[in-house]
Amino acid sequence: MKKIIILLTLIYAVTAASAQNSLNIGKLFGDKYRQNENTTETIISGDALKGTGLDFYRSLVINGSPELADEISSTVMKDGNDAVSREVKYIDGKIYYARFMLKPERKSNRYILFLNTHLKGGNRIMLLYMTGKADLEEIKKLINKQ
Amino acid sequence: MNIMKQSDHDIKRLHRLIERYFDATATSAEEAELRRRLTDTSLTSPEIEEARAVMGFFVAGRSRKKASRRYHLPAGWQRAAAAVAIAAVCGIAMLKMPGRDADMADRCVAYVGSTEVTDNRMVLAMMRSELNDLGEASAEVHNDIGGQLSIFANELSL
Repeated sequence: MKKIIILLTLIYAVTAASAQNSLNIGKLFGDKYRQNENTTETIISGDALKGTGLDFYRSLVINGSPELADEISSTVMKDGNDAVSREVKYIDGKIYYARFMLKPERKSNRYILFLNTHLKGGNRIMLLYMTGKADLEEIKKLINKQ
Repeated sequence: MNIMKQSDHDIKRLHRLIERYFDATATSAEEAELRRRLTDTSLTSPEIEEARAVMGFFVAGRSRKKASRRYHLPAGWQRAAAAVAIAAVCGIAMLKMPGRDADMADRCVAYVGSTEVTDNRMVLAMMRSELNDLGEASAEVHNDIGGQLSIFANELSL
């Protein structure tokens, strides 16, 4: 019975995350880094995001491990290649901050954000994937009002 | 007896500080007191362990113990849960047709190392913190652009 529930849950998780998994960044979430004690992965969807204009929020924060920044940032840039809007800042030739608005999917806007604070004396790498009805201006307000 | 009363008092105080911290109403002094009290490993409760995990105060061995502490449904409820899961997957599979909007189930969870955090307040506080960091970086970009445009403007006005 436990195995059936797990199998059904996996099937649902695969279909629900299909939009995200079609992106290269999909492979960065989940098991790849989750077991690392210095990693935090956050998944929020539905009612908890009420009032934000989002219907899905997923983040990966890795403390320490600056050596992972190149792999993560290059994966982000692959998905960002087809972005309809972008904002990127480089420091010493490496990506410090990136915000991409991707082509909408299923009438939902999609955003990828990346930050590598190692390049400014910090110790974290952050990757966010968000979807929802919120347009770019609303997303800018969302991240700037915290 | 006095020692037990002090411990209960400390735990109640810590719970109050945790509540104020994740409600974003804690003062700087309260936040500092919270961080200091969390290092006292003699104080523990499910809320305290979750706060330790979220705020980075991992205690060796306890995070794994926390991840394995799951609530097991009685057998009858397991069958009912399986039936609901089957119906949900079938329903969602029907919705996943081209042109239909994705149906997002409600989720609010964070995995901090090997600890699963399901307290909505804590998870949303983590989201706010992450967005705040990105907001600061975004503001830097805009300041950079403003500065560069000012340089151009100054050159053009000469």
